Amino acid sequence: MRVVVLAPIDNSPFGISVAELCRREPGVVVAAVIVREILNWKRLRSELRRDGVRLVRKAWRKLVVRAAAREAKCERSFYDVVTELGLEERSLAGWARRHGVTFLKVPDHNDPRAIELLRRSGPEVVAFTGGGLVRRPLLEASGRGIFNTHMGVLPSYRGMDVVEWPLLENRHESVGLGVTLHFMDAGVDTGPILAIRRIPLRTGDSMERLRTRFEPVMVEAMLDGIRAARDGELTPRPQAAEAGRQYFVLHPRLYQRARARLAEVARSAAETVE
Amino acid sequence: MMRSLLRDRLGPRVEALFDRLEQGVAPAAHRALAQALLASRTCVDAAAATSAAAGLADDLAAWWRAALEGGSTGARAVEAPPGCLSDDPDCLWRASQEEGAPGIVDLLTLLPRPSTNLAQEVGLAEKLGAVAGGQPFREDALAPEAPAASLLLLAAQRAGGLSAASSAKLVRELSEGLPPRRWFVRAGTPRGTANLLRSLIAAGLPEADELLERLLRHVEIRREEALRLRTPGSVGQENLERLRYTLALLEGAAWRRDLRFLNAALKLNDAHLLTLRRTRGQGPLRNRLELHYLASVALQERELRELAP
Repeated sequence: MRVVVLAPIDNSPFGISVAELCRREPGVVVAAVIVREILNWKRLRSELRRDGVRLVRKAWRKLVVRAAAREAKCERSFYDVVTELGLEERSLAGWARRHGVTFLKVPDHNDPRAIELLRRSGPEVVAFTGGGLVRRPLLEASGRGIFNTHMGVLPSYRGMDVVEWPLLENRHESVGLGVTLHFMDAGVDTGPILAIRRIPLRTGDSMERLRTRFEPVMVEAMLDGIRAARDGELTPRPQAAEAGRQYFVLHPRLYQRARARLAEVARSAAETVE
Repeated sequence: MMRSLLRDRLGPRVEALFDRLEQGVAPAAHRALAQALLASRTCVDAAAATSAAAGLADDLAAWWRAALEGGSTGARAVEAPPGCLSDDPDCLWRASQEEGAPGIVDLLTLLPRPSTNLAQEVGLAEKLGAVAGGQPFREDALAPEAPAASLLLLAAQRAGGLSAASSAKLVRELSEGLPPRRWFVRAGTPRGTANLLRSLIAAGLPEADELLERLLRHVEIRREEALRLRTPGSVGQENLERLRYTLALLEGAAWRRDLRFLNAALKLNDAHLLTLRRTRGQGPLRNRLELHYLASVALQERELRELAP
């Protein structure tokens, strides 16, 4: 089964983990890797508009001081997955070169060159590891579809900051926190659901620790989906439009309240097993 | 080595800077501007041309002060002054044209909740019905009387001057010429629709749900480009409509207990503060802007305490 991996940047640890695990998976071939240019004015402007200072902080922490991984040392992260895989390369370009996989860097995944490469590669599925919105032509060139691992429980929590919103709305128990593997469609997180994996809260959790805990689960969920596609065992469940709501980036005042709620809840959280 | 230098030496300072920047507009900034506006009383006094309006303006200012300071506002109900709905609907109609200083009609729309002073319907329903019959809010064009109609309807609802049945009937008649998909479009938003949405919410009509959802997506996605007016007026008129839409989001948040609407309103109010600080000006429009800002920030603070304690 042929798979194409889409990644947000060349050294995306999520992207490279998925690419390598697909490569190692019997019956799966990585046909191409397509990454987005990071130093692209249009992208920077669009992401800054959406995420503001949080984006700059995220970049600072990830690229300069690796602070997220340090703070959440007790949690396995994308970086740990990459390390465990024993990969020498940290860049998808290097990885693709080593393994003879077609590599393309574009300003946006919806770029005509990316769509043309997808058509030529003929994937059965596409693994999306981040990088913005996908539009109809990209969806149509992606075989059965594009897998996405959304950091919220669908259909209830679509959109942004969906780790924080359930805490703020006090629905972290009734709906739960978790990763949803789903097919992407033209809507925002409205595509058919393939699997949901719950993420437990633990005593002493901070937002950074909690979000880090999502990372290896996202990798596992993506690979499980790819295996299921290979084995003909996908069972997509369509989402009703009215079954969930779209959420947006939290205003700092509500974000602080979500953090405070987490601190309260995590003081006495016991790990629950799904 | 460079990385560890950055991390160890600069890291804490950079993190502190990010904390400050992420905070965005500090709550204290809103309180400071609001308190300055309440202290100067320019906009409040501008609306106090009649004794009924003066009393209401004072009551509203006290409610806003209490809401901003975190005091209890629940026990304090701001009621429409008895008899404020004149038995001369034409007088009220003229007052809703917004060509002069803000007055009783404007203040009534800023009541934090509908008054329980159920005043007699005094020809308002007929007057508004006559306007609504002409479908002032239409897909293809906005009639000149549309903004005044929605303003007067909202004022009457807030004052308790319309029965629930009249209220629902009138707001449906006013809005039926403009389908929801035509409210928030690139060509612009029709002026006066913010008060129309507030009227739909006040009447508790389900049509408001779809509009609130569309509004939410529009302001969250379009950001500073959101809520441009279809018929270009002044920047001040556009800002006034935006403030009214912020009130609609806050009222929608309280109605449906939906924090997403409060979230969007918080962002909009931050933008309003920056606009008010950046722009100068005097006169009726400025006074209206300041009154609406006060109402919006006060309601925001109350809802933060109630919906997201």
